[in-house]
Amino acid sequence: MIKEKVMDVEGLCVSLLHRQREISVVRDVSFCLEEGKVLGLIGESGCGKSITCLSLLGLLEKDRWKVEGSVRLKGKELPYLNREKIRRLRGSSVAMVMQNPISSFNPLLTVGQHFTETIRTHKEVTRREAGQIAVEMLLKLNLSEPEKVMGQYPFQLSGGMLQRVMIAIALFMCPHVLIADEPTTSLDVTVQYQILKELAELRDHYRTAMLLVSHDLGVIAQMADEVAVMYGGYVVEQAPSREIFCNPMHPYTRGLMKSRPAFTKDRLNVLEGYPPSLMKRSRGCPFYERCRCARKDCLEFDMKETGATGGHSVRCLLYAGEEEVKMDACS
Amino acid sequence: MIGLGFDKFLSRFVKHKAAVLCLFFVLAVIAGGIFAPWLAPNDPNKIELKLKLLGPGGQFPLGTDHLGRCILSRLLYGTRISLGSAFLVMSFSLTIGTAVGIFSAYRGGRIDNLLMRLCDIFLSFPSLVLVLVIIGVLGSGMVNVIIGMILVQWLWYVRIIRSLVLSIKERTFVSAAKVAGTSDMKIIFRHILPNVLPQLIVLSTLDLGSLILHFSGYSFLGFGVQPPTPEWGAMIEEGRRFIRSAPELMFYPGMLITLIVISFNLIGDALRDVLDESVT
Repeated sequence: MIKEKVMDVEGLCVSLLHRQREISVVRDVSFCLEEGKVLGLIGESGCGKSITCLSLLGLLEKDRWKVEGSVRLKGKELPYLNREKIRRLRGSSVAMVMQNPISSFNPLLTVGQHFTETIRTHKEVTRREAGQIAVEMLLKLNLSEPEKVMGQYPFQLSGGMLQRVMIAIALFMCPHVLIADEPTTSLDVTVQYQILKELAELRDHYRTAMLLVSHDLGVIAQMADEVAVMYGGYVVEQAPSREIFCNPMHPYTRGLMKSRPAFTKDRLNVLEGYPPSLMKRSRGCPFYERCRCARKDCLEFDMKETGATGGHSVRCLLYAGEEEVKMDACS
Repeated sequence: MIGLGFDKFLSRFVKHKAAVLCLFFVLAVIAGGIFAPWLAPNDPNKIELKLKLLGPGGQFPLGTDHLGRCILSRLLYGTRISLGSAFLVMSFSLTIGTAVGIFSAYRGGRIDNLLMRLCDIFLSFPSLVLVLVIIGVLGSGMVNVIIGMILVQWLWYVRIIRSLVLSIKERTFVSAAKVAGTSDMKIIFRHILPNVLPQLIVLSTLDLGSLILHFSGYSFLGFGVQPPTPEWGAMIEEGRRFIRSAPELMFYPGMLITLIVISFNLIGDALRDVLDESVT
């Protein structure tokens, strides 16, 4: 099958304008989403995952955020400067599933009202036709009694059901790209499993490209074809899913893999320390303070990609140039 | 009321007994104003000096004033102006305030900043002074007092509504709607406005009382309604000269204003309790 690039992000930089200062939040992020494939984006809280998603949708307010770089959808640059045009693309070509389904619904509107509102934003249909589309979509997501669900208020449904509704709303226009920002974080594990299964089925059915944001390695391992690890605003490592789980290269990724709970009696390995504060980000590698194999020149490092072999790219001085570093030396 | 069925709303409201009583009182007064031509026993403006300062009874249930006019009839007709002007001021200032407040909060940035500083400037004067300035420019009279009150009152609502909208704007369902490509207008009318409406209802009920008081105050000062038009504040002013010989001239309208203001406050309080319950 020919892989088709759906969304191509190049050199995305986002900075927060705060009291005449520019605080960079997302730095030089590049990736591309392919048809029917899932790109997993992992990282700790505050590393820039959500901001990356919002900037892709053009939802960052211009007087507070500065966004640079290019985002192409099917080869065309996204019209971020035109509010009206980008609004029409949101929800139709690029859809997003939010983190917390329960608070993502207006408590005063029924599920059906939410649904028809979005449908009628993008399609010129009557209320009744919109209702039919909605019911069909809900059926596809294995919600029983969709007609009843349509008439219910958000608080009458469980988190899992609401998340399904939200996914249904996101997918009815068959978007090219679906951004899922931690779609299962607030759900319990069994529901999480079902939702992920349904997402996978829908991805195969609609051939949607997905950007799956999560800090749950299990979710990423289950869903993603390719994984990008973010730290301090940079994508520090990016590789196909299997590759990154078997052969993590960046010290941060390795630390992340080690800190997964396992069925052993050993103490859990933790990554010591916290991600650097937004305000304090300086030159050099943002992971310097927590890195076990940090060197002096790490502080001068310009965070360029250092090693890129077989689709596995990493930004770390350990892999710079000819210098061979033994993997075990710093693990 | 919103997000809470009408039955439920009613059953909760009924628990506040004082408020229910006040509601009936207010409704009765409003009805009295509306049906004044049928209810009033006498022409409110008919001067008959022979019959001045009569006690209650007979043809004049509450007696007559210093010009021999029927006090009850004047009170009934006065309701139209006192309450009517308060409702008028409320509806106009609330509409303007809501529109500007939502716009300001939703757009944010420089426009918001500019509008808020403008509000700060005007709100730093007591509203009485501002209205008096406006009346000074436009001249006295009922219409001008109403215009002046609207011009001052909406500034207060802009402030309150802006802060309400700001908190709702940050709720996740608004960003979810934005993510789905919903237009700004739709977000405002379907997501934001219904969510601030309960607070607006409470606010407007609580403020109606003070608006009535203010309007009567301007009439008392001689700016608003000009004699011989019956109006509560103006009636108090006219009765002021007879405070020793016929205190009831001031007592009836004064009592009516007091009771109406208390009623609106109690109703507003009850509404707030009921609607707050529905939020939590």
